[in-house]
Amino acid sequence: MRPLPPTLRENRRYVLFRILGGTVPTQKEVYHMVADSVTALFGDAGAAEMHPAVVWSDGDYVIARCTRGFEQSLIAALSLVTKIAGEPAAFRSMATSGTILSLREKVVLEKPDAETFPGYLCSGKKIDNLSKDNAHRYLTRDDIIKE
Amino acid sequence: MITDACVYANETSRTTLRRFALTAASCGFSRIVACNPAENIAEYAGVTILKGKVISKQTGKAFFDAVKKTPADTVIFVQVGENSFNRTAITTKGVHLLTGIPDLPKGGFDHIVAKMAAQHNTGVVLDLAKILDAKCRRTALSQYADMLAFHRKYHFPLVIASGAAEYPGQKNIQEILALTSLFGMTRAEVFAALNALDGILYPKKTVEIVEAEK
Repeated sequence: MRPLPPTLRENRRYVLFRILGGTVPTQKEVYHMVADSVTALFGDAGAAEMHPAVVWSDGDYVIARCTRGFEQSLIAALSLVTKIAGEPAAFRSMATSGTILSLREKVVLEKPDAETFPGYLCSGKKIDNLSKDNAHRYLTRDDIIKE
Repeated sequence: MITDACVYANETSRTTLRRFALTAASCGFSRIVACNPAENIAEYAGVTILKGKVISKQTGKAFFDAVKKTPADTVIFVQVGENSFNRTAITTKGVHLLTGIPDLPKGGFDHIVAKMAAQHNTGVVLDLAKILDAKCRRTALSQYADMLAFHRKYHFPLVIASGAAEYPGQKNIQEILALTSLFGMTRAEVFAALNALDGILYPKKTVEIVEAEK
């Protein structure tokens, strides 16, 4: 089948998400999570209308694509993700745009600061660490100073 | 004040109350209600933290005692139950919010309870954590749609809560708008619900003394 000419193609929108929770999945894993989540909430017919796809990912940032007008549905579907690899996680929507470039400009890659509190994953005021029962604990700098 | 009406920063949670407040600030909230908090913090990262207490369904005297024993500055949530219990809860002085709507038994919340909630200025909590849970998502969406229909007719306060037990469970305003649109809530209704706690905690009186402008 020949592809549609540009004037007949649907318009698309791109949504920038940030993955919270410390787990960084691969782009393929993210694609499967998006597809599963959209299908679970809106069904196959809704997913076919929405055309969700993952177009870019770097670290904990992801850009997902959908048909114009379905951005809110995509955000709703992805906010239903509660776990990645068994750990609590979430897709936090950051911005919506018509181009990938403008969203990539909004990405600020944070470098973990391992020097202040060795063994802890620090970024800004936020600090994550692995507790004795092999589960993450989510703290702030002030919590550690208090401890 | 844009308020997240309920986060569970209790002893079982792996997220500290300060981290909840920090995340709430980044999500655009200026106040959170921490239910049964493990720590006692009034403000952090520009977010006001109110204490909350969830009272589960109990028999008459135990319920009244639980409400009476709760300190005055605490937001009281009551877990909904049978119709008669809900009516008692609404008319009890000091009860601010009804929660646990997806677990309502059949006929638990009818038009009379809705009218009473409007008269007594008792809010109803829409807990988004119930939508995130795949097991009770359908029930939650259908119950919340019914609740919205009652709210549109009887105008009792609706309050939105993330119901988060860990910080990834907290949602930002865009996500709340997207999730609430699943059961037909409009943008204006969402913002009214996010700001509704002030009206419940500090209701308007028929006569108010205001200072004269100098």
